[in-house]
Amino acid sequence: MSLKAENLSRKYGSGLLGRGKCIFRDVSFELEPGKTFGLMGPSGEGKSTLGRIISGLESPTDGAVFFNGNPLSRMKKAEYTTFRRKVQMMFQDPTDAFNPRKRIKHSIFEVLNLLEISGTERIRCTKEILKTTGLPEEVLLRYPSQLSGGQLQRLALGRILLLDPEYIVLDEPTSALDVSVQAQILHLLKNVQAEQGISYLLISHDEAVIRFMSDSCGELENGQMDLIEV
Amino acid sequence: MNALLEVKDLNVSFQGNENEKGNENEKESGTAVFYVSFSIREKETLALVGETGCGKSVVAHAIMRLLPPESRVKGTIEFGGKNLLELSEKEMTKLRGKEISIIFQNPSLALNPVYSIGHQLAEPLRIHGQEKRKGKEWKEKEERKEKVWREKEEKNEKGLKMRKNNFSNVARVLKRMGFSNPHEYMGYYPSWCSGGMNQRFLIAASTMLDPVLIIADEPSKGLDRNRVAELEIELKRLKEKSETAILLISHDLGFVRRLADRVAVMYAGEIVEIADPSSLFERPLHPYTQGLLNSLPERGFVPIPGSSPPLSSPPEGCRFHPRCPFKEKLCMQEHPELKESNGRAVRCFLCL
Repeated sequence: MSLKAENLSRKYGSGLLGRGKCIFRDVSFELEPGKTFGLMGPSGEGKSTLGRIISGLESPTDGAVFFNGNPLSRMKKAEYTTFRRKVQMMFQDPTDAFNPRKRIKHSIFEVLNLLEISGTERIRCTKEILKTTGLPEEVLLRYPSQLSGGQLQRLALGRILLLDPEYIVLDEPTSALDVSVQAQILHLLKNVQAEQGISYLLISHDEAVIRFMSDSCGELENGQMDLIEV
Repeated sequence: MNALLEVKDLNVSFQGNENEKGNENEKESGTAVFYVSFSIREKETLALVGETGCGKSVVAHAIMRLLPPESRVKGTIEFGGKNLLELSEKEMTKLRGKEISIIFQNPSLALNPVYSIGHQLAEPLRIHGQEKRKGKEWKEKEERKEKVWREKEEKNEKGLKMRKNNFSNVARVLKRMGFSNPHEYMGYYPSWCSGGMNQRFLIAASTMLDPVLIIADEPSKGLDRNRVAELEIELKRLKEKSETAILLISHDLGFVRRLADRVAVMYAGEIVEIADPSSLFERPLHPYTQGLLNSLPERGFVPIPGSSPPLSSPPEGCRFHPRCPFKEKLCMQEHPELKESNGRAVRCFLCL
């Protein structure tokens, strides 16, 4: 498995009449198996846009993302489905990641239904995820508004892990959390990586978080990405 | 110095989370704030810190009387010799924005997306200006019924003047906040502005009528380092020039250390330690405060094991004992009181 970005550029507002504004250009990097690549930089520099492009949620204006050597834009449907399962994204605000009108168990079972897992296997998978993320079973009956940000972020990670991903794009996973919960989530992410060999692309504006988590890192500023030593 | 705000035995509980069967009689209830007492002196900045869900924002909303109807609030909140919990909604409306104002947590949710910044910033002026105007008009109407038409003209003129005054006041406050071209920003909509700018607009709205107490509820949440630095400058300027007292609610401990005169640490709905920032950060007494400081990046992100207890069923004895590395038998059996010594207060059997 490999995931690589080559010469990615992204422009906004580049219609027929406008020249558009270039957010970043010629950004290249590779996510190595079981390692973390940290991406930092100030707000508005396109870090999240780059994360969305790597996850296939947005297209680059130039350049390409290669999954197992194949560019995303030329993938067949079956290959693309595999890519979408193997490359997941975890968002900044966990409250937005769950349906506020459904209990947590519905949001978890939604993923299991997609994987056509039902009956006792469904209960086993759910219990395993709760064990990995260190949450009690009672959270399944709660609504998102009844849980703390840390609990929701753990559940968001647990739901992603159900899909057995190879890569996770972590878009500011702890910036909405307080310091003690932030430390817990960072350690949880490290443990999951050590156990399951998942690669992370960690996006954050907090240099301390990037340095704590990453094996290699880059800084996105003024439309360019510079690799920096950790 | 006199206490500006005195919160005594504040207890807030919520009722209404239906259980799985949807049985109304079996509704769960939880106490979000458990007999919290503290005071804020004039011109003082008191910070409330603690984990998400520990009840910091509930305290803020209880002071502003903005809690939902399913909440039950007990205790007293004394402000200017009045118990805020006993005031009528009309009296409270007169107080909000003028005497006590709040900077809400999320600027994108606190600002209305369909109104311009200028319109929204003038709202406190309109609300508090109108109260006086209504009273005057009523008297004039009673006294001079025969001059109805003339009065209407006067009213229109007054409205126009008031609107002009409001907008010039908004421009003045925006200029004070460092916006070089305030008239241009007044025409902007929240979606046109960055999170940092919207946060500054919220601060401008809360300081519009120069209140004596400002409650800043997580003002730095979600902002990047540059925006946090700007916000810090704003709040420092507010403290020094306007001499406003601030109740600062935040989980950003560095931010709190630089701004607060005193820090109160909350855990699971109660205050566990109160001290001045230098002694709290250099020599924390309560095991929870120690754990909180160890979670900081400069101390290696060492997490506190376990998670906060559910509000509906807090543990017996000390609420922190299931996560405490130093717990003893007594901690599991009895609930410690907040005890003061040497200018600081702590709720722990082991620190007394």
